[in-house]
Amino acid sequence: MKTQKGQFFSIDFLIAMAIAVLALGMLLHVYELNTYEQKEARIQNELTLIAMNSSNILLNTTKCEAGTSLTDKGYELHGCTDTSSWSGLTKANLMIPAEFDCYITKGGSVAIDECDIDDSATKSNIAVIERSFLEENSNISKSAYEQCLDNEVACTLYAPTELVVKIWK
Amino acid sequence: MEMKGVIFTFDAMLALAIVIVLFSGIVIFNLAEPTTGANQSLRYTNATDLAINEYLTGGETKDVPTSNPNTNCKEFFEFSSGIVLEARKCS
Repeated sequence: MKTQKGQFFSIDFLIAMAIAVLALGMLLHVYELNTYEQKEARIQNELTLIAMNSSNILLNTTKCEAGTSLTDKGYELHGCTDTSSWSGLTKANLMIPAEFDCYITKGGSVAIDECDIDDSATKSNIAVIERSFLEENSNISKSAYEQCLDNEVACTLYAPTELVVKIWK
Repeated sequence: MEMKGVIFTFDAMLALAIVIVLFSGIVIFNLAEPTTGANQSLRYTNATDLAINEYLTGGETKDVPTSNPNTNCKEFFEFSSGIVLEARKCS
C-alpha cells in the first residue's frame, strides 16, 4: 500500500490499541468484582465463625450430667447438653464481640437473655447456624444411656432440640 | 516476508495466545469461591451433629435442620437436607 503521508499511527496499530484497551478494561472489571466479593466473603466468614464458635461453646461446655454409674466407668456424654444454665450466659461467655448482635433460640424460644431481640431484618450480612442436639437436664444413668445406644426400645431419654444462633453486625 | 505452508502469521498466533491466557485468567478468578471454607465447616458441623445424635439414640434422628438462612449480601444459602448446601440469589 502506498505510504499515507500525514498519518502518525497505522490503522493496524490503532485497532491493536483499541483491542488492548478493551481487554484491559475487561480484566480490571473482573478484578474489581473479585475484590468486592472477597471483601463480602471476609465479613461473612467472620460472622459464620463467631456463630459456630458460640454454638460450640453452648453445646460443649454444659454437657449432660452423668450419674455415678456412668462416671465411674469413665463415660463422657458427648452430644447431650444440659440447657438449664443457658439463660444467664452473656455474650462475653459465648465469645461474641460487643460490636456484634445476636439472637439465640432453643426450640423456637429465646435461650440467652442477652441475645433476645432479632432486629436483623435490615442487615445485609447475617450468619445463621442451626445445630441439632439432644437435651436432658437431669442425671443420666448407665442403664438408660446404654438402652438408647442399643436401641432395644425406643429412646425417650433425650429431647431432640434445635439451637439457632444468628449473628450480625 | 512470505512463508509458504503457514496458515496463521506470528502476529495472529501471539494475539490468540493472549486472548486464551486472558480468558483463562477470568475463568479462574470466577471459579474461586471465597466462602468455601466457612460453608464447608457448616456442613461438617451439621453432619457431625446428626451422626452423634444418631449414635446416641441408636437410630435415625427425626429433627434434622431444614433451613439455614444465611444472608450474604445478595445470596441466600439454604440447607435442603441438613448437609447439602444450595445457593440461590435473593429475590
